[in-house]
Amino acid sequence: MNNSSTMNGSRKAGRTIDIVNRGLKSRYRKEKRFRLYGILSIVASAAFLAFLLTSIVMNGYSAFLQTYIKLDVPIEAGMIDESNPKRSNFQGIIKSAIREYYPDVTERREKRELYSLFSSGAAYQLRNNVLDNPPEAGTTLSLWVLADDDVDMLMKGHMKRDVPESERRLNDRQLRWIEKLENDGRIEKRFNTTFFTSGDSREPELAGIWGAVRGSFYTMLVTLALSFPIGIAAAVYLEEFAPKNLATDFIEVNINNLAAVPSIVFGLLGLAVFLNFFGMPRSTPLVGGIVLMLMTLPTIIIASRAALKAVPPSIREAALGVGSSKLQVVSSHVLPLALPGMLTGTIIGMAQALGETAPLLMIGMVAFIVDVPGGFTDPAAVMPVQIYLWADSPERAFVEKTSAAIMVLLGFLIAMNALAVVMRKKFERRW
Amino acid sequence: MAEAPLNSPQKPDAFVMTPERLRRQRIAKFLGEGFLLVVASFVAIVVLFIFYFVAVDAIPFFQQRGFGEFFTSTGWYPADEPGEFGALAIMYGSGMVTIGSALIAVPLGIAAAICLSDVLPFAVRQYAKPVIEMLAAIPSVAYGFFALVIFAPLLQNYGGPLLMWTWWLIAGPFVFLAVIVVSDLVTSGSQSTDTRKTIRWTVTVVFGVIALFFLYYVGRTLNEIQILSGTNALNVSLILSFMALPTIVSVSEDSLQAVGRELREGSYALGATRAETIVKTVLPAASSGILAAVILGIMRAIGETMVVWMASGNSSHIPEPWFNYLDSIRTLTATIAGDMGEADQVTGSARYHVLFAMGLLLLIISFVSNLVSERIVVRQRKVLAGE
Repeated sequence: MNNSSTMNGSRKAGRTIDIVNRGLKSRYRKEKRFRLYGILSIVASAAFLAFLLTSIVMNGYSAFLQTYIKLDVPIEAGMIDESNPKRSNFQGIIKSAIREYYPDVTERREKRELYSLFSSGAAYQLRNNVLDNPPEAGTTLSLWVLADDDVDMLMKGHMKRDVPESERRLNDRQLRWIEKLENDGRIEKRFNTTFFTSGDSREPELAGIWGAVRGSFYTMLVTLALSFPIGIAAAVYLEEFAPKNLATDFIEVNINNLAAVPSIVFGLLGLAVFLNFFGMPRSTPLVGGIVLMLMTLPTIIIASRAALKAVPPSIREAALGVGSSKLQVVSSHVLPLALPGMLTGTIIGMAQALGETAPLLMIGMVAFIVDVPGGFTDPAAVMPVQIYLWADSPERAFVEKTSAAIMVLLGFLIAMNALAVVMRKKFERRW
Repeated sequence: MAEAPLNSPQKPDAFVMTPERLRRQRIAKFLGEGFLLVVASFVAIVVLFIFYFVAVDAIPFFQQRGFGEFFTSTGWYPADEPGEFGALAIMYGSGMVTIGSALIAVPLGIAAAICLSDVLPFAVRQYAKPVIEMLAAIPSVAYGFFALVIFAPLLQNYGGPLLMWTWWLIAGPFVFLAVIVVSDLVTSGSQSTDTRKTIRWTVTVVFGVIALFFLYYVGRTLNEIQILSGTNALNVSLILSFMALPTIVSVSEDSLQAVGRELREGSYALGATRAETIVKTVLPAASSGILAAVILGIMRAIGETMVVWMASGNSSHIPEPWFNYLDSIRTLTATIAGDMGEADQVTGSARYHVLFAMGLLLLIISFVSNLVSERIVVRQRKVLAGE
């Protein structure tokens, strides 16, 4: 500005357009720079997201495969308890089969090292196999049994073979045994069904997410059963019936307050009220579902109100015009039209609840639970808590398990959000 | 359906409201609305309920130990006998990660919101928006895992170079902008065009060289920093900032959209470029809504538990020096999550109640900032509506 006015004084041409034109170049440059900042910020978020997702996928995809070892188990007379096959010493049978394959291992310490290559779950595999179809004495069972997590890590390349022996969890002797298995083609990676069918375990190769998935499922059922009706009823009241007065304002303010409460405080509430005051059972989907219901309510109410608002007044007026009562207008005209929007909000609320961890820690859902829960009052873990527990475990094998569990959880969440988007697109009406 | 009773002569009163029917309808209306009112007030009651129960369990702590220790001491030894319950360092840690994440998330979020609402064409926007929304859909425990298992080792091993590159990337453009502006200002007085150009060139070059040295020197200092532990305030701040980003972006974008087309078109009509329109017209009009967005985003950072619990290092001390983001810290939420497991075994002790005192503190902060941000949004709506 200062420049142009002094220069105008020296020159004669003082038309406004010249002044504007002179500044134009730098203004356009500023414009470009401005756009660049905005685009950079979005690129930065996208880059962060991409980095996060790829690193999780890169860490986790190998958990969908698991190393198995083929073991020939000779069944001799007397090994299986005929009267009660469940009580047979399956651990012993597995060990004798291993010894048979490595006849030159005799020393006690070496034997222990040898057994540690096989998962402790191998005996259960044999047990299930024997109970399903009892073998005859004298036959040989050929069984693919689970390898220990250290072997698994070695086969997946997370443990290097060429580092000094002291920096490896497997010593040179154990590596030689594994090489023998490799040469015989008795060790291979197969699809990891254990991961999807079993509960938690201290042994990484036996740990699965099924218990947590079931726990999440029950918790979500409780949350949905409570928050959907309450949320919709509250939204209908506020949008259709509420008079404009202080009490209504109070309710509205508190819905937003509820949305702003830090999630950990809901956990404190659950602990103080539901566990200590009402004495509900600890670490159950019932209590978890109630706590999460309180968290999802604001989301559902806000989305449902938006859906109700989108129904044009002409519908209400027409229904009132043919003589229906207010309640009839709402229940048979407004609600059906607003329902898709409400469902969308509910799905998004449920997705939030599914990913929530902190409040569930407070009500004892961090407990180590092996059994797959069978109901609402069984102790259970949920998916995010399971992820948290595994993330805290020191074994390298749990890192990939954690990433894989995150991938599964993200899969659910993305599916739910995508469903919400599709529903919104499909049922969205332009009035 | 309705024709049958209309045509049938037996029921001429199908649409007549007898007093009996009127009464029944009134009762149904009363019951229905009453039921809905009860359900709706349930939500309000829940909030009071939360407040009441957290306070009931927090008050015994203040009765036992008073306010002084909690707010002024940094000694946090709840497991000792008798324990020390100074939460100052913990509150400081909460404040530190909150400010740190706000420093990253606010400029990034506002820039992204402007870009989404005014800069990008619709076709690109359609794809850019889900990216931001996706950040909100990722569960906090996944962020925590990322911070702990992937980002912390990265920071620990390559912390110095990472800091240096970030410094160059962020400070570089700003410093060069400053060089151009300063040399412009310095040389604006001279009259003749030719000499002015040469003077300007030399001044720019001199300043540029000084700036380069400055950048290089700071960069080298940063490069030499050894990060002892990757689980520190910087790590947590960065992750939290990306968690708060979607909130800031979506609320600010709403507020930018709420500024009507009249203002924008008026500005264009006066010959302003898009950047000038946004900076000088739209942003001031939307400023209160953006402020509300910032408050809500910050609230997300204060209330977040899993990331700080997993990746902040959880040592309750005020870093040395006070702005050292490479030190590990502990926050209010992480303390509640971490200590409750043991404290719950001894329900009734100060150790149990102090965690509720922290919960109460969080609750009060969140209520106050929520009310403030709501007030701001309402006021903006009124101002824009011309009231």
